[in-house]
Parts: sequence; C-alpha cells; structure tokens
Amino acid sequence: MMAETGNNRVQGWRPAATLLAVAVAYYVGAQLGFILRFPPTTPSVLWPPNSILTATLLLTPVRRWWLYLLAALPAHLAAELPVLPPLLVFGLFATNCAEALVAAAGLRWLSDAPTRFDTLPRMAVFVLVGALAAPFVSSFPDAALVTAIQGESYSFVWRTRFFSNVLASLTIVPAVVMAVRNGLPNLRAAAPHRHLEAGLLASGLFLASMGQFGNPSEFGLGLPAELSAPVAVLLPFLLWSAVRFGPGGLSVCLVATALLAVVAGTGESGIFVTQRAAEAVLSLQILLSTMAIPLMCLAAVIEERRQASEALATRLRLEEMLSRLSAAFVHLPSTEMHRALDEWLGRLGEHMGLDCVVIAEYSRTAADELVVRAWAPSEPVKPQTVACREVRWADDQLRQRQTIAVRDVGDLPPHAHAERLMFRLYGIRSCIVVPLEAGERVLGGLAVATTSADRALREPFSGWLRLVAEVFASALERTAMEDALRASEGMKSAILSSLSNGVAVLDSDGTIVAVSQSWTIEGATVGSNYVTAWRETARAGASHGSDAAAGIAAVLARERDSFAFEYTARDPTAERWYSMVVVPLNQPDGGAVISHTDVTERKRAEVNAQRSRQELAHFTRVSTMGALAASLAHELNQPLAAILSNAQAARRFLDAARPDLGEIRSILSDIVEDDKRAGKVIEGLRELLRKGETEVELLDLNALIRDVVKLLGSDALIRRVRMHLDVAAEPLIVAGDRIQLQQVVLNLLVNAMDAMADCPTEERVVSVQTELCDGQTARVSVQDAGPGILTGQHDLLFEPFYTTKPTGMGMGLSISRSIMEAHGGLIWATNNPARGATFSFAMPIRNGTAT
Amino acid sequence: MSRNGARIIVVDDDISVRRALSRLLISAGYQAQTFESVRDLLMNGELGRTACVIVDVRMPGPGGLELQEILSQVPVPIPIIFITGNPDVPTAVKAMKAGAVDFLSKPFSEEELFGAVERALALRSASTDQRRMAHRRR
Amino acid sequence: MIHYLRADRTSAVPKNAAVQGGPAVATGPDSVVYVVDDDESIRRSLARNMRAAGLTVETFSSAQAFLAHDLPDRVACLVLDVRLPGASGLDLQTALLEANRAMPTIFITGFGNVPMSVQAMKGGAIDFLQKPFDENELLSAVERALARGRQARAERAERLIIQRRFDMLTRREREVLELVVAGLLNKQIAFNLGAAEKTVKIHRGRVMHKMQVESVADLVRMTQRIGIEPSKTS
Repeated sequence: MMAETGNNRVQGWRPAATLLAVAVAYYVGAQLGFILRFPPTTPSVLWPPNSILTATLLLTPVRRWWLYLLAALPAHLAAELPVLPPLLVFGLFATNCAEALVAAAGLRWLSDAPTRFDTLPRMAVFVLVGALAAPFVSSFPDAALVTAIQGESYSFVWRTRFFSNVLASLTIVPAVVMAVRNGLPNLRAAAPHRHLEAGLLASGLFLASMGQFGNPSEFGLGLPAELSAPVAVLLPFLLWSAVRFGPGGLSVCLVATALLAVVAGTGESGIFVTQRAAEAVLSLQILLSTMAIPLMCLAAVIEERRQASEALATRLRLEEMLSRLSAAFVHLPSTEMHRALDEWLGRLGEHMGLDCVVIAEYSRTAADELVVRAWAPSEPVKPQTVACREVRWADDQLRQRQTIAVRDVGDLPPHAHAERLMFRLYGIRSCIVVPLEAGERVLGGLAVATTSADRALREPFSGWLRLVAEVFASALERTAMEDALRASEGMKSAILSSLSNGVAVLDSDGTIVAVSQSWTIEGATVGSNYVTAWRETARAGASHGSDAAAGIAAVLARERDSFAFEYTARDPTAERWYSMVVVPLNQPDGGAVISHTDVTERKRAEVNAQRSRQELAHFTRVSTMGALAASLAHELNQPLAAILSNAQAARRFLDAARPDLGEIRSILSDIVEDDKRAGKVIEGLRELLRKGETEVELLDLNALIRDVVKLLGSDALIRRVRMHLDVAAEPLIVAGDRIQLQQVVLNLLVNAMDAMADCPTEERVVSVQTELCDGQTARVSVQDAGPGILTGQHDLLFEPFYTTKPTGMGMGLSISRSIMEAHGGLIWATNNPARGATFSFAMPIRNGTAT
Repeated sequence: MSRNGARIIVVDDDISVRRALSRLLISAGYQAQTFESVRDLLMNGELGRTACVIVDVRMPGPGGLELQEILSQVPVPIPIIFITGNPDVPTAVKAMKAGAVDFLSKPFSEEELFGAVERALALRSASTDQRRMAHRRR
Repeated sequence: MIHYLRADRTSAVPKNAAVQGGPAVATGPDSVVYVVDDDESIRRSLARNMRAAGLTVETFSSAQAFLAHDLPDRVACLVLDVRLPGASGLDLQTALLEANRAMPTIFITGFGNVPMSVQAMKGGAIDFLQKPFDENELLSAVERALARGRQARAERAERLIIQRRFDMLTRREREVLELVVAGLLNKQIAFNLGAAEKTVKIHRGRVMHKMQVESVADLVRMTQRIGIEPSKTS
C-alpha cells in the first residue's frame, strides 16, 4: 500500500511530483530494508529500494529513466550515508541501479506487456528476468564491494543480497506496478464483499504468520525440511489470495508475509532465534521465494483464465448488444432513427459503464457543422449543433477516417485546445472516437468516454465499438438515403402531379413506368409500351406514327440526345395539335421521359398571328398602294387611253370608202402592245396586292430592285424625284418571298420620296445601291436627301405606328423589319454625313440561281 | 380655217398615246401634229396656226399647266384640252379656272375628245372673228 | 387688242348712266350667300364663318328647298354641296342655268372626282373646293363669286337698258342698226335697204340718239350685249 500512496502518479503529467514520490519511496524502502536486518549482518532480509526502482523504470518511458535514477540518488545517500562508508554507499547505488536497469530492460525486451502479470508467459518472464536474473547478476559486484570495504564473507554477502533482492522483486514489483496501473479507483470500485474477503484474508494471514513465526518451539531446526510446517500453514492463505485476488493480491500478501516473518524472526521468540542469524535469514528468504514463484505463476494462470473468461463474457455481452443494436436499427424507419439513436446511446453507456457516449453526425444541410447527440448518466440526450471548426483536430481526424484513441487527456496534441477544454469540462480522461463510415464518405463519429484513464480503450471494446459504429453508420446512411429518396420521390411525385403537360417515364424498352396526372394519352397507360403504341398508330394509317416511333426508339437507344415532334390528332370536335418532346433519362438503366403538350391554342395563336401579320402586311401594301395609286393609275391609263384612241381611229378608218388596211394593221399591233403593257401593270398590281402565304424562292435582289424602281418610276416622276440606281455587278441571290422583299424595297423607296416632299425639286434624289459585303451578305441601301432622322428617333423608326408623315400609318418600316427578321436579315437606318438618311437592309447570300 | 382640217397639236410624253391620238384625230378629218414635250412644242411648233392644243398634265419637264400659263400670254388664246392618266380634282379645277376647254381623264372616248375639240374650235373661231372684226373696224 | 379684250370686263354702259345702281361693296345688305348642304353641322359652321366675315347667309338643306325659295333680286352667290339628297349640286347648277337664273357657284364636296369637278367648272362654277378646305379659301372664293355676281347683275341691268333703248327703235331703224354694226357705210346701207342715202343718214342719227351712243364702236358693243348679230352682208 505504501507504493500506492507514493507512486500512483508516476505515469502522469507532474514529473516533479513523481520524481519526489520515487525518491521518498526509495528512502522509505531503504529504511525498511535496514529494519529488516538481523544485525550485525549488512544484508537485509528484504531490500525494497531496488524493487521500487525496477517498478519505476517499468512504469516510465525509457527516455526518462535517468531522471528517476537521479531522483533516487539523494534518497539513497540520505538513507545509507549515516550507516555505511561513503564509498560503499555510492558503489551500492550503482549496483542497485544496475539491477533495476537489467530487470526493466530485460522485461521490456522479452515481455509483450512488461507491466502486466496476468498471463503465465508474462509472469514467467518477470520471474526469470526481473526477479532472478537481475539480482543474480547485480549481486556479484555488490558482494565484491561489501567484501572489499566491510570485510565480510563474499559468498555470504552475495547469497544474502541475492535472495533478499529476489524476494523483494517477487513481492514488491508486481504490487507496486499493479497498484500504480490500476490505481486506487479500482479498489474503491470493488464490491463490498471483496473488501470483506480481503479483510478476512489479511487477518487470517496475519494470525497464521504470527503463529508460525512467533512460536519457535514448534519450529524444527532442520533446514529446509523444517520449513514444511510454516509453509503448510501459510500456503492456504497465499493460495487464497492468488486465486481470488490475482498476482496483485498475492504479491501484497507475500510482502506482508515477509514483513511479518522478518519482524517475528528478528524478535525474541521468532523462528530464527535458535539459529544463526544468517542461516535464519537465508532460510526465510528461500522459503518465501520458493513459495512465491509457483504461487505467482499460479496466480498468473488463474488471472489469465479469469481474464479470458471475463473477456469472453464481455465479448458475449458486446456481441449480444451488437446484435440487438443491429436488429433494432436494421429495419428502423428513417423517421424513428434519431429517437432510436438517443435511446441506444443511453443503453450503450449504461451497459458498458461509460461516462459519456456521443454520436456526431455531419449536418446534411451544412457541411461544416456537426449534429451532436451526447448521452451522459442521468442526462437526456439533447441534439445540438457544433461547428466543425470548434473541434478542428477531431474533425480532421474523422475526415481522415482515423480512430481517435485518447488514453488520457495528456495524449491530446497541443493544438487540440477545444478538445482538451471539453475533456476538462466533463471530467473525461480517456476517450475513443470511431469514424462513422459509409463507403467513401465519413458521416460523423461515435465517441465514448470515461472519467478514468484507459478503461474505454481496452480490447475488445474498441474493436466492438467499430462494429457499433458500422451499425450506426449504415443506419444513418440508410436514413439519409431514405430521406433523400423520400424527398426525391416527393419531389418527383409533386413535379409529376403539378405538370400541366402529360409526362411519362419510359424504361429502356419503351414501357411506361410512370405518368403524370395530366397524361391522358389513350392506349398508353403505365405498363404499356409507348413505342409500340406509336407503331400501331402508324399501322392504323397515321403517317406520323412511324416517325414518332422511330424518334422515341432513337432516344431510347441513345442515338439521339432528344426528339421533338409535333403532330395533329382529331378529337371528336376539332383538330388538335400536340407537341411531344423526348429526352433520355440520365440513369444507368436508360429510359426516357416523354413530355406531351396540347399546343392547339398556341398553334391557333400562331396561325392567327401569322394571319394578322399577313393581313397587316397586306393592309400596309394596300395603303402603300393607295399612296401609289396615282402613279399606278397613270401607268395603267396610258396604255388604255392609247388602246381606246387607236380602236376608235381604226373604226373610223374602216368607215372610209377605201380603208387603209396597212394603217389599220399598224393600229391593231399597237393595240396589242398597249394591251400587253396594261396587262403587265395589272399583273404587278395584283402581285403587290396579293394576300398570300410566304413563298420562299431563290431570287436576284438586283432584278427585284430594278422591278420596284421601274414600278415607282412614274410615281417618282409625279413627285419630281430623280432615282439613281447603282446595282452590284454580280447577281445577289437570296432566299426569300418575292412579294415581301418587294414590299421592303417599296417601303424604303416611298419613304425616301416622302422624306423629300418639302425639298427643292433639284435636290430630290433617291440613290439605291446594292452590294455584296464580305462575300456572304447582300446589302441594299436607299439614300435620300430629306431632313434625316431626328436625334433619338433611331430606335423608334421601326416601331409600329411611328410616323412623321401626316397621312402615314407608321407601319411600313415596322412591317419591313418583321419581313427582314423573317428572312434572317437586318434593317437599319443612319443619317448621311451631309443630309438625309440612308435606310439599309442586309440579308444572307445563297448559292444557286434565281428561279 | 375650216373645221375639218383644223390643225390640232398633241403633246404627250407617251409615244403610244401620241400615235393613237394622232391617228384618231386624223381619222376624224383633223390635222394632227405631235410633240413629246412642252419644250419640243415651244421650240418647234407653230402655235399661230393651231386650232387647239391637247396636252398631258404631267410630263418630264414642264407639263400642261405650265403650257397653259405660257399660252395665256399669247394675244389670241389657244384653247387647251388637258388629258391625264392620273387625274386629280385640284389640278382639274386649277386648269378649268385658268380657262381650259376640258380636262379629260385617260382613257377617254372619241365622243369626249371630239366634243372638247369642237368646243375648242368654236372658242377659237369666236375669238378669231372678234379679232378679225376689230381689224376691220380699224 | 389687249385693250379691247380688257374693255370686255368693264361695263359697256357709261358710268354716268342712270341705270347703273347698287353699292359696290362686297358685304352690302343686298348681297347674300346661299349655302346648300344636307349636313346640318356644316351648314351651321359655314354660315357662322361667313357671318363672322360680314356676309349675309341663307342656308338650305336641299336643291329643292333652294329652288322653292323665292329669290329676291340681290347680288348673290351659291355655296353648293356636290352630293345632295335628291337632285345633286350639279343638277341644281344645270337647272339654274336652264332657268336663266345662273348664279356664281362655289362647289364644296367631300367626295369629289375629276369629271365632276370638270363638269362643274364647265358649268361656270367659280371654284370647286374639296373638304376639308381652308376657311379663307372659301371666303376668297365667295368674294370672287360675289364680284362676279355683281358684275353679272350690272351686265344684266345694262342689257335691260340697252334692250329698252333698242325696243324704242322702229323697224327701219333696227334694219339700219344691224347694217351699221355690220360695218357698212351709209351708201351701202342705202343700197341694201333700197333707200336714199340721206334717209339712211337720218335713221342712223336717230339710232345713235335713241341708243345713246357716240360712236359706232360703242353701238357694236351694245348690240353684242343684247345678242343682235350684225346682218350678214351678201
């Protein structure tokens, strides 16, 4: 127990205190060793300091050994200088250190766990190396020193010291080491009946020892046979301690026994009274050592078996818990998940005797947050959010999928400030954090913590914890997936039901797997094949059916990125238009989504708009015609007048007595020519007034412009406007509607002439120019010498109903622009540098010849 | 100057119209002389022996109204008959106010034309008679 | 000759003639503008405008209403819509001409065409205005029309006087007059009439006296006014 009080912080974070404790223990041990002597002999029956040093070295890192050894030196000097010559004192310290070093180094080298004595191999190594070899080796120089300085018998000194140290090592080292490792909490935590049992054992051992060693009359002198009796009396107690209290209990008992025996033996009535002191000491040492070694091994074997069975029981318990846990979580609906997590955190904590169980999940909504659920005894689980940066170290470890094992708060790296603070705050000493992994992702971590060191980290618990983490991780992942699936299902069904279009989802064969509420296609319900449905439509005689089937099939086969299709279908009342869009479904199994829209209204609107546009265009043409009526009337009336006059002249010639047939023939051919001329005028008129559909053809813009300029010739005459036409050398072939393009040219020319109505006659010139720009565009510009475009009106020019003319409708340029847009062209206006404006349009050149 | 055989001048830029009118007038027994423009008439015509002028309202260069203005300066007014393929009221009224005999829209019938020509010739002879009488008074 | 032609526009009656009467002002109470239009609002607005210009205006809604109206002998002009219900403006113009009640006329129309305008002008119209027209355009036309009206009235009065004078001539005197204005000399007249030159001279003096003229030229002009053709000499 002495070791416990002095040394139970050897491993801790207060090296100075530990060093002091070592020194004190060493000093006390040395004083005890002096007491346990049979004067006048120098060697002690039991020499604890060496064992204390050994235990210290076993419990401390190698790199600090020199410190502890140095700490022991003052204690050694303080204890021995008063009784022994200084030279001897220093020599003995060296041999003591040597023994401790040999023992500790040998154990570290040979044993898998030098501080544990719970298996036979570990105990055997300890006995052979620590308890026998080290004292054996170190006793030679020791004995030599004593012999040389004190003059005592070398063999006697060697023998005494060897056995003394063997006994000390066997008894004290396990006691000290185990006390320090398991600590007082372990004792305190033990059940009351264990305390009672320990008390009974202690008192029984005390009585037996006192009886044996205190009554020399019953003690025979024959050695070692004479020792059989005390052994027989002590053995049951020592066996009791070995079986029930393990190597630790046994070593304590052995220390106690040795002390009692020595105390009794050095007194008046001890067993060694009758013998020579040296012989007595030796026999006691041999007696205790020979008893101790097998007992220690026995205790180790028993401990080993106890631990094995305990581990088995623990494992079973863990397995049972794990299976219950798995069962609880495997079919858990995701909505129950968090409640179940909270419950199971508590169960884990209670069953495993943990002080804190925490599950931290990375937030699904914010990647830099952890949702933490922590259980502690008598505290309800309450989820709370922690920013990842607050526990950066732990966060980093988790994200690197590292299991964090903190045996003690001192193991935390220096930069883990937040974690350290939490440890202090909750009184946690050890902790293990296992990442919750789902495939490649880390969902969070499962942490368990205890307020004592090391306990939580023992195997098989940490391995088991990883399994628990797996269960939790898969449950959380499943929850996340279910939530996502539910969200996506919800979204999908919401989308499907909210769509006004009929939408159907096809699998890769074309079978309909889902439809929206508004999907009302006859003969195409879920489960039927949509491609087949179209093929049947085709077979029934609808020509577009096979196109549709081919298009959908191509998308399903991933040959096309999408397929858009418009078709008409006759419902009982009217013809309806439908638009169908097919896009591939982006999933491994393929498939496609069909969107089906009734576009009848849109189509009607389009047709109406088209019709309105045509009507408007027609109207504008008609109103342009109105403006042109004068010149057209002139054009037409000229030949008509000529025809009439010619015909009437002919009639008169015929009335003559001898008609001049040559003259009459000439008149008739003139009439024919004028009639043709009039016919052409009317043809042009009719074309201009035609209210037709768009007819796209290849035509030569130059020729078209010549025609229009010619048509406007007499108008220009009336308006006293000179027209200057400058056409490109090469034909400008464009694709377009002749009438519409004529309309544009006509509008621009009439516009130009209107613009110059107030100009002096000699300035009224309209220049029309056509040219080929960069080999791809035909450009036509109409330049006037009018007042030009007012500042800020450029944008308005082409707007409908914009006009500067008192009689204009303001539609001409607007119509022209829409015609140009329909032809993929542009129309614009600029002011000339000098005066007037130039209106231009440009459109792409095509290859080919005019039709 | 006999009615038949009266010399009538036709001014029109359209050769077809000129030819037809000339034929028609000749077929009715008039003499016809054609000019393609007012300028042509003024440079080459013999207005003094002209019974009446049939002129198109609008032609390149000076038109019928300009000719009317010029002829109003002549001591003995020459009756003018306007013809036009592009008739409009203001022009017609202006021409008539300025003393035109008639204002015919193309195409016009021979009756219209000859009616106008006859009236023109009557006017012409009246003014010629007056002039002749005035000569005699002196 | 120019002088002669211009003389045509002035009164053949000497200024001191007693028959010459009526004030020469355009806006006298004796001058009146008749407006014939079937559109009430146009009638009202025209009348308002012209009254504002100091003219006397009477309005009628149709040709018939106008013809039924008893027209006093005043200097008058007619503002006439071409299109009227029943008889058109052109019909009215013709009717007035035929009834010898011709009146300086200004046509107004919303739907005029060229033949219509030409016909109206041939019928003696002062102007042919297309709606909408400028108020001043109309007023100036009205002024011209009234001037023409005044002139016509004066001429009519002059003819009346001449006619009265002519009526005072005896048959023989008329025969002499016709030959005088035909430019014959007394000798020729005498030969033509089979009378003595002296007798002819006396007749001629009486004619000149009764007709109140100084010269043969004045006599010629006067007789032309009342449509007396010079006798054709053989």
